[in-house]
Amino acid sequence: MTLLQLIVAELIGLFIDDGFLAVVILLIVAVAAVCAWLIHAPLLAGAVLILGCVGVLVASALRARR
Amino acid sequence: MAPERGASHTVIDWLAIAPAVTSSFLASLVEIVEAFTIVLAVATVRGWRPALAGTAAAFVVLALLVLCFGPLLEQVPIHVLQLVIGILLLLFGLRWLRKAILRSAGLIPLHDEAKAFARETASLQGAPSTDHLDWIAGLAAFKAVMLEGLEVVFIVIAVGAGRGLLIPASLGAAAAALLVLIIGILVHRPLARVPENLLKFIVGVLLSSFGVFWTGEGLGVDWPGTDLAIVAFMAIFLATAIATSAVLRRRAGSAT
Repeated sequence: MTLLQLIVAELIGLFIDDGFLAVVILLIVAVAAVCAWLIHAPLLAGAVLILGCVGVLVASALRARR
Repeated sequence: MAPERGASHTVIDWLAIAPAVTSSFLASLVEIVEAFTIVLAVATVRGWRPALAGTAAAFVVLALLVLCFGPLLEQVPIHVLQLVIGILLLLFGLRWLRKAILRSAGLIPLHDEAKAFARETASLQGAPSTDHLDWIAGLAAFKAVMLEGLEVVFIVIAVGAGRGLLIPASLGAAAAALLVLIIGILVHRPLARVPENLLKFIVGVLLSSFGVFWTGEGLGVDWPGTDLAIVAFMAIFLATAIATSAVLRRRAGSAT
């Protein structure tokens, strides 16, 4: 693996470790964006963000147990 | 009334600055300790010349990256910047927090600087003793400083760029580098006693909280309490992480 490939792999690894966690975080942000921009309910978007992120953190940790 | 408003501004400023500086300092501490271990291993096996040459080369590349891409950040509209940085912080912070939970629950092993030092030393000692080894040793130092340094640069930008706090965040990282350097020179061995998982736990909580805050700001959410919302998020993430870790520990205990 060249140094550049190593750096790129490391950069990706900074953000993606558990694929499930990464995909669900992006989905949560997408749902929050729909709430904020399409439904015009920014506070609902905020609630989706914090509750969603807390939920996916717990789910991802529990999944690792299995 | 003016002094009261000034005082309130100072409090709000500190509410924004303190978490940014703390996150940057603690996260950088973890990364710099890891890089220091490898540089020290290189210096122990092949002397300080390749270790310092590799380190200096990595610093030059990192500085060039910051100088090239840093000014571009000013061209990005603030809401777009907050949203992008917020999402990256969520990915980065929750990943750190998840790993810290799993480590504290004993599901994955703790990072051990003494073992990392022994591994790197053995790998360099195992190579045939030629002038090429200086290059290999220098490259090992370069890679370690470059890769950990990239994380430090990202953290500084992520916690600082969203609200013009790049300088305080950079100072936090610089203080961490100085601290590791001073302690490293004094003890001259891997900093294995640094409570790395506790630091990762705290930093994971801080970065995840920033991530939720910036992502929300980028989407146009007016958080109740403005900057105070970050403190509330920290409390929520901390309580969740501690509870999840306790549940996992109990389950692991009952399974054995």
